[in-house]
Amino acid sequence: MTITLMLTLLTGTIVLNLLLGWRARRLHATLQTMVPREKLEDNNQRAQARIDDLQEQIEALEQRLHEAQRQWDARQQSLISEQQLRLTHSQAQASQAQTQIASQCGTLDRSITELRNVGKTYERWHASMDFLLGHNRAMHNKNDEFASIVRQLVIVALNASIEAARAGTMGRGFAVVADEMRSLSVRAEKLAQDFRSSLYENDLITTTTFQDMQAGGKMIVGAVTGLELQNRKILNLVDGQQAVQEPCA
Amino acid sequence: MISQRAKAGFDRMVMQGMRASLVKPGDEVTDLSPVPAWGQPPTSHAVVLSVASLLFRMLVVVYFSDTPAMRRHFAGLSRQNAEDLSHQAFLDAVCEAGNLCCGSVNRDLGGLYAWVGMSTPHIVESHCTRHLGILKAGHLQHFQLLLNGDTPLHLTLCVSESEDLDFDFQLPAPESQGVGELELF
Repeated sequence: MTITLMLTLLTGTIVLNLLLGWRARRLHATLQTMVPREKLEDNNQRAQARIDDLQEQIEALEQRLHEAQRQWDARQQSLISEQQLRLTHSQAQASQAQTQIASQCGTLDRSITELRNVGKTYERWHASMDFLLGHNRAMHNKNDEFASIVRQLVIVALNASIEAARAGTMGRGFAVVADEMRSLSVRAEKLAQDFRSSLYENDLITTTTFQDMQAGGKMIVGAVTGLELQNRKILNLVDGQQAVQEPCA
Repeated sequence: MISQRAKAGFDRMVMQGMRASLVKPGDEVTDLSPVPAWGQPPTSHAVVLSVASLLFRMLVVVYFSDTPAMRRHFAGLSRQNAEDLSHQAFLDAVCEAGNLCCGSVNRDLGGLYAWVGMSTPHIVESHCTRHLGILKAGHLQHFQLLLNGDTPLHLTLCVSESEDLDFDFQLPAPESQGVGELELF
């Protein structure tokens, strides 16, 4: 029994020694991993210094930011003032230009209105053409009369030739005169025909020239009417702009 | 110079104008076509109208005589009674028909050229038309409109150009043609 007890104690002692040894090794290992206090304090001091440094940098940056903000505000204010000045100047110029445009449009409108009266000149042209055609008609009548006389002359000359032939030798000289008369009458008849043809040409030239002038005039009036409409549109736009600007002024 | 297609365009415009202005309701168009030049003018008188543009001038010549057949026709066109028509009223009716015909051509030309203008009608003896050559026309074309097989009407187109002319004019499709109603904008 004593032996058993001894063995038990011995075993317990051995186990206890083993446990203590294991515990001692663990403690040694833990101690090995622990940082020394001095080092920790040193680390803390350096960290604090870094924090202080960063804090200073932040403050410096904040100051620069405030300075930049102040400069920006000042610049912005200056720009706004400058733009306001320019805008006022531009508005004054635009207003002056609008007034001038309105004045010019008014002048143009009056000129166009006067120009549209060009139609009155057609009446003058028409009167002139009627006069020319009347003159041509009178010449037609005179030429017809002339042609009628020439036809009579041809007949008279023919009769004279016949009478000269009847007179025989005595009428020979008269026959020569009668032939000459007939020849002149034929030439005069041809001349009357040519003159008649020329008068018809004159009628055509007079009529077509007048009509070309009249139609050309209407073409111009059409163009002027287009200009008048455009001018009115510009005038309305300028008036509209002035009406918008006046309440703002 | 006037291109062939421009000449054809002018002809189409004129024939459209003739159909619109010289044919009254109930008339049957037996023939409407270009014809060769005639030796003698077909009638005693003619009504002349001009269209002016920056590039050309154009003459439309509508021939007529104061005959019973012509009186009936132009009186019908102007919705008047032929028997009641004085000589001056007859002339006015012819001028009105010519005006409508040339006006139709003028409208078509207005779609092609920005600035065109038309004259008032004027009556001349048709002998004058024998001298159309002096106008140095680049396109001179005669037309005949035969109504109901027995009433021939004649017209001459004379275009004198100052610069080259070239355009393509086609008659509008029947469905796109107006019916004379007022368009409200």
